[in-house]
Amino acid sequence: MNYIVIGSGITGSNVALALLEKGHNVELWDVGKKEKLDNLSNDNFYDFKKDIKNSVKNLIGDQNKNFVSPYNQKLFEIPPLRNFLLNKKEISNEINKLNDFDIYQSFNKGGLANGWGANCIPYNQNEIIDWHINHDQFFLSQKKIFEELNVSKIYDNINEKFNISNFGKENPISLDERDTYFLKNFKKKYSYFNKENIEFGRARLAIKNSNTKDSCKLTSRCLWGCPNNSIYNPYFTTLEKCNTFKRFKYYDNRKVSYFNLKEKKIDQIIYFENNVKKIVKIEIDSKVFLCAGAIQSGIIFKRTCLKNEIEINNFKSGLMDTKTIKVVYFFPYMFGKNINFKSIQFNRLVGAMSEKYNGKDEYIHLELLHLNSLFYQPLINHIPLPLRLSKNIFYKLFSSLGVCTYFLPDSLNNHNNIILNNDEKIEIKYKETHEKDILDKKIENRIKKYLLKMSAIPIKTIRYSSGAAIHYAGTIPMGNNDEFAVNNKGQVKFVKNLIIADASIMPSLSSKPISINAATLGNYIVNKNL
Amino acid sequence: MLNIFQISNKEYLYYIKYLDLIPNNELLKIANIKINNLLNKSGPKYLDFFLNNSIHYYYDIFFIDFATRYFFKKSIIRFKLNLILALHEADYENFNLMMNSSTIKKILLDFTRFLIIVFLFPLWLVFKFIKLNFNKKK
Repeated sequence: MNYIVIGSGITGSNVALALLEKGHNVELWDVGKKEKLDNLSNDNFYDFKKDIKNSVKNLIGDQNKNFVSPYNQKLFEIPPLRNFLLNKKEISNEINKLNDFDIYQSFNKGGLANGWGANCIPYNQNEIIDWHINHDQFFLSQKKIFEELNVSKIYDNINEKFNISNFGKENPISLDERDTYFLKNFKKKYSYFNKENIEFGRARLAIKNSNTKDSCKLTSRCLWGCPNNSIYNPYFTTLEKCNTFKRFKYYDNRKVSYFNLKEKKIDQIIYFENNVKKIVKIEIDSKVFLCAGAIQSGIIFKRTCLKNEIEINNFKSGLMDTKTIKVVYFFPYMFGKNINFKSIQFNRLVGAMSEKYNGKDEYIHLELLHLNSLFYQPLINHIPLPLRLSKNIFYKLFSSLGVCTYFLPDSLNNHNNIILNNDEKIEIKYKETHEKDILDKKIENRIKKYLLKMSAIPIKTIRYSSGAAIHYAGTIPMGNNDEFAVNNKGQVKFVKNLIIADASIMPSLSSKPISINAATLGNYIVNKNL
Repeated sequence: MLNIFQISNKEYLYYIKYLDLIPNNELLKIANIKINNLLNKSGPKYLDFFLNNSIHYYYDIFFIDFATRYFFKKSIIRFKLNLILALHEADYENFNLMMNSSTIKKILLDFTRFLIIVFLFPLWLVFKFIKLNFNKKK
């Protein structure tokens, strides 16, 4: 059987691999832009600063992209070295009105997974209970994807208390002095935290950390543009595996716009051929797996409905994202201590707690970061004092600074959506709900209380705009009744040969990191359709 | 006309002294390229000319930093100050110095200076405004 997979991100590439492994012919279509990554050979960021031209280019960027002004809410943008994200102009060409939704999109080979945080917390029964899917089969897909992504093996109270599977195999990354101190303090007062139902432990990361040739030397470097491929990236791993199959064809430069339907089937795919800047129509006789990511899949689907005169308002749609909030804290014990600059800058610790949201106990995912040798101008800028004083205060404090990031779950509601007007102009409407604001405050208060209990002093809470978490989902949610355009096998009910397999079909969104769970869903959908 | 926003050697040394850094001509060159890029994207406003023309002595930097931190946050001078700090953070020797040179004594001293600046700022602003107008008439 012939299949076309649209999108090469973490879901698309894993869907393509699953189809190939089942013996099918697969064409993978995407825009397929490629990143020019400098091959930096320094062992760590500290030494990397010795080469001033490279250092300035990578930390601040030719266009001052990472140079943050005091009135900018963003602290650390994706480093300017990386160009896997669409720039503002490309996004405004794509979407006419964002209404303050802070969108991140990628047309690169490998998609947004080129720069993800590598954090993997698998969905459990609670998170998929409303999806009406086969749980056992979903967990089989989870195991397969955990192996593909090379997740570290950690078994602690987080697994135990929050019913999380442990499919990882890789060695965990090592902790630094501040992480160790944090965990020590947590364990000291464990009877209190146990009653409060909060756990902290080591991060489950998709990072090669064994003693092999391609293992991670400094994890931070990968996130910041190092071509060393130790953080899982579909570009380097899954798509490479796909390439080993003779039945696999990869077509880049194809930006799919919509499908023409005939007798309830996709008859033609209309796409923009990026290298010749031309709109092309191509007739197909294959099944299509749409995996372009929640935003792009949503746009392609809605445009298909509009072009084929299908009344889209008859079906439920939406837009979800896990709101991100950062609590900056101060550890007096670590004040003035020397930092090992050759250690990594990464979230080596995670936390888990539960909180009521929409009448349900929701898992709340936390990540903890302790600062190491990078580039601090954006943080110094956020201290509300003159620069000289801010700089001196920051450098005195920074060994004792940490950031706890928490993510909020989301649910579908009528107000949040991608709107496609009759003139085909795209608009994003998104507003935080009152329930989410209440949840946010509750979690913030709890985290501050726990930090104080651990002898850490919360300093500041930074709230990012909606959309900044890059965990988009639910634009074409799946469901069993007539309200939904997609059934719980990912099949579009009125198009026989269209299957949607990415996060756009998730009918609810947990606060857990989305990437690994979106890839799991993709694998599950493949298995349900073959 | 826009050349007046370029950082001269004298102005650069004021920033270096103010932020306690090691001068580096390569970084000064990069800073001026980046200021040029910014000016090409968005032109300066009257306030930028005023603030830029107010830097005559080292002590002016204290007031300029205060003014652009709390009142004129989007000014080119704020950009210059942040840029100098950011560029020197990207340099190995300067980064080392920043890491190791901050002391409680320095912070307390800076805080005292900050309080003095708060008190004297209106006078400084009026003085600079009168001086600018006086120079214009001349």
